Amino acid sequence: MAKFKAVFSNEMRKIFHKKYVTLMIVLVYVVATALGLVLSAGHEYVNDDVDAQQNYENAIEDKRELGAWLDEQDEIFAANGVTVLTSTTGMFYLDKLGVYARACTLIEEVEEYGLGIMVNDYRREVLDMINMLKRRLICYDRIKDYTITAELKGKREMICPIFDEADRAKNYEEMERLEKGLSVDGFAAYIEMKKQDINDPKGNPVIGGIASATNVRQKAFYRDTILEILDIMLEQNITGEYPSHAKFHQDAGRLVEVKWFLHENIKTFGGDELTADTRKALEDEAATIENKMHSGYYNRGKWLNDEFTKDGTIVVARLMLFVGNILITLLVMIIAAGIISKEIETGAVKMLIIVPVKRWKIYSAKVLSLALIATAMTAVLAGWVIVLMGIVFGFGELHLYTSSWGVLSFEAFVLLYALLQLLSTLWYMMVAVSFSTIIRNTAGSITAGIGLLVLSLVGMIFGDTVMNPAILSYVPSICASTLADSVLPHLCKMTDYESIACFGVELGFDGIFTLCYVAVLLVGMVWSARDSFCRRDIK
Amino acid sequence: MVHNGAGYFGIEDMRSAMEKILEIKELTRSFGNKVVVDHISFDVNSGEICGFLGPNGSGKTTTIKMIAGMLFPDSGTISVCGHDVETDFEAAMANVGGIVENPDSYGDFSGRMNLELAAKVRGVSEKRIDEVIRIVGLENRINEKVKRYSLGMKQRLGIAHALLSEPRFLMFDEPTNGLDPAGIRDFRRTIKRLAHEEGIGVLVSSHMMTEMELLCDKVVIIEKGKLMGISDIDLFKNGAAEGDVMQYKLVVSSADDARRIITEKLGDVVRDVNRKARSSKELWEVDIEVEEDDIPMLVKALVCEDVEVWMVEPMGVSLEDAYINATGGGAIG
Repeated sequence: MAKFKAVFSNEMRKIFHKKYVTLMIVLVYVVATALGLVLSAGHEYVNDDVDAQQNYENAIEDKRELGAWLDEQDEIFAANGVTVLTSTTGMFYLDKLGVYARACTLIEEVEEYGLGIMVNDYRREVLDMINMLKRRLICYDRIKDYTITAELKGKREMICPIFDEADRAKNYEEMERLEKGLSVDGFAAYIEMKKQDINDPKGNPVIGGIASATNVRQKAFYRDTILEILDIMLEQNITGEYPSHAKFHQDAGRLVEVKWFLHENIKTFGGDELTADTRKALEDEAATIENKMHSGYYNRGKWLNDEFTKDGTIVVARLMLFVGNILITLLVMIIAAGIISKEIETGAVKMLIIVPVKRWKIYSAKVLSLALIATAMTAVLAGWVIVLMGIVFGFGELHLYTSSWGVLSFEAFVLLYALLQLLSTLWYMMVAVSFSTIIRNTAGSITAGIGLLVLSLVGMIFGDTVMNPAILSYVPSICASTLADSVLPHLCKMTDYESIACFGVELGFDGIFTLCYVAVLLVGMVWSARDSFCRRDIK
Repeated sequence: MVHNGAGYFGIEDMRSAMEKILEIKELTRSFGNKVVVDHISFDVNSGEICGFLGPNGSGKTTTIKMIAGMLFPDSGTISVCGHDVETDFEAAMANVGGIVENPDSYGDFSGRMNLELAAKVRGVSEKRIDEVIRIVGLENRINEKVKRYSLGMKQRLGIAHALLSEPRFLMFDEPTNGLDPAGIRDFRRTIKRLAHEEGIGVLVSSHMMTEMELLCDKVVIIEKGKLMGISDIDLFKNGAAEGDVMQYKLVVSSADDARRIITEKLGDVVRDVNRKARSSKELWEVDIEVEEDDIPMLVKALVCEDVEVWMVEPMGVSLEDAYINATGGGAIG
């Protein structure tokens, strides 16, 4: 152990002796700090949102009520022998409650028209919904059960023509176009195309996830309202480029929904008639959204308009961690790329090997020193983000982070986010160490490592997520987000049955990716350590 | 008293001072189809400086790298102080110091920092670092970055590395390469002192035959991976064992008298007679082939008959000649 410690201490000394290491370390924190300050500049923090914890608890309560209502529906379905399928088309912009509302609509459709529902998306919220529908699911399109698919095919016409594959593909296409942001001319063409779609008698108006009108009257109403919204989008260039644009889209969906409720005098899609109070509340809500839309509210401040100030700390913290993590990963990769090969290239390895220390200890000490540097830098970055955000926004004002699986304090969110990023950094580190050990060429290892990083960043740009905690590579990002979705809820001690069920479902599907991630790390380590270093000649 | 790196031997320990420090048995290594080291076996004892000779590509460096644990043998064993290098690496290496191929170190570090890194792993004190720096004469340049060192300075630093932990076995691959004459002399003195006074076993691979001749006690010769011979250096040079006939050169005042007396005493043993060149006196060189034991009698007979004997010199060949004879001219293996 003493020798291992000595080798470890030597490795640390060697790493920190390099001038660029110190410079890069300083750069990480300077860039992250500058980014944090610039993004926070002139930003007025408004904490007028409903308390996040309370909001979350309300949502859970709503779901319980909904569950009870669904239980009642169960009996009706069973009595009538209705096959219940579900569809989630057009739910991309819905928040969790929106999904439940959508579920209600679907159930209503089933009840009224005897339609089936098909699930054709796999978002977290959808899984929640599936669970809410409790075993009414017949087909889930990621499960390639051809028997069930065949059964579904026979019923498709009966189910709903708008749910065919072409519609689904189109919806995805639209979503992508919105998310990527379009040029002004391209955007105008896009809006025009959308208007034509909406005017198509067979088309299904979709905005903010509000879709699939179940009768001509509703479809016409949706179409008129959505056309007005599209005009506003074109006028204000709401391309979907910024988070505020996504918020516009989401609120627009809600506006359509609220207007329909008011028009039909109902409380929810499956609900009672409006009381005076609820009508007043809905009218106020619709007016607020319309005012915001007409005043260009959603186009102000781009990243951090007022609506987003409540999440401002989270947005800024994520960006600081994201950019800082890329720099940390780069630094660790550059060091890792030369960790074995550089010593072999310079011949210094001979001095390293002729010591009374086994090679595996030398290798482990090298990897451990790098891993510790990455961990320490990430931890310091996370700590600094918390402190800086506290200084800028006030320590008592840091926002709670709400997600589909629970509520975290700002500090806990930052630490967990940093932890996921660290996983990604360690993955890259192992890639570079393995290259360095196997090909024994520093330049080649750096090129390969950075190439992979760039590839992943390109993948991120063209991917459908922004600032995923571990987006730096496909595999780590899939696995890290799986961990986030699967493990974190568990850690948060969720009690609602939907999330627990989702935990199981996601662990089943994406657990494989997580295992792959761990396997790649372990195989890389063992292979490079055992066969390429410990048991390989050093010529 | 003999220092062994771990403590001091007493009288009792001196008896075991000639133990086998390095023991190589049937060592074999191939690269692809080419057998580079082919079943070689030899030992290096404590207090012994062993020259490891062979033409380029004969397998010397491969053998040294296997001793250092850098290459893995296909078969055979290497043990240092009784510890097998493959199965008991840490214990074996605790007794080894040396330079393999080139004296490479961390170029961005100063000489002292390089030594400090090695010292930390080997548990060596700061005092010892200063000591080895003094031994190799790098006091004035030790704080400079190694990448600014000349080859000779790097060699000195490599030697300092090797000596750092006071190992019981030292090995050097071309240690005097790049050293200036004073450096070569210092190296020779240091190694001889360590071997002969402190009982350290030393293996030196070099092409500098004159240097090896001055340094080594025995030689191990390999060619094309095969062991060609192991011998005491004098016997190797002279090509004869004790009791064998050897050539001697006598320098005498009278060629005719000397030839007559020698022939009378020992028969036809005179091989050549020449006038001694570059001498103001009239002296003659008489080359004879006799046994070593005949020399005193012969000198006495000459002197009794008033022939002045100015010099008796064994006519052994140089190590270089012997080496070239043994290896057939040193073709690359």
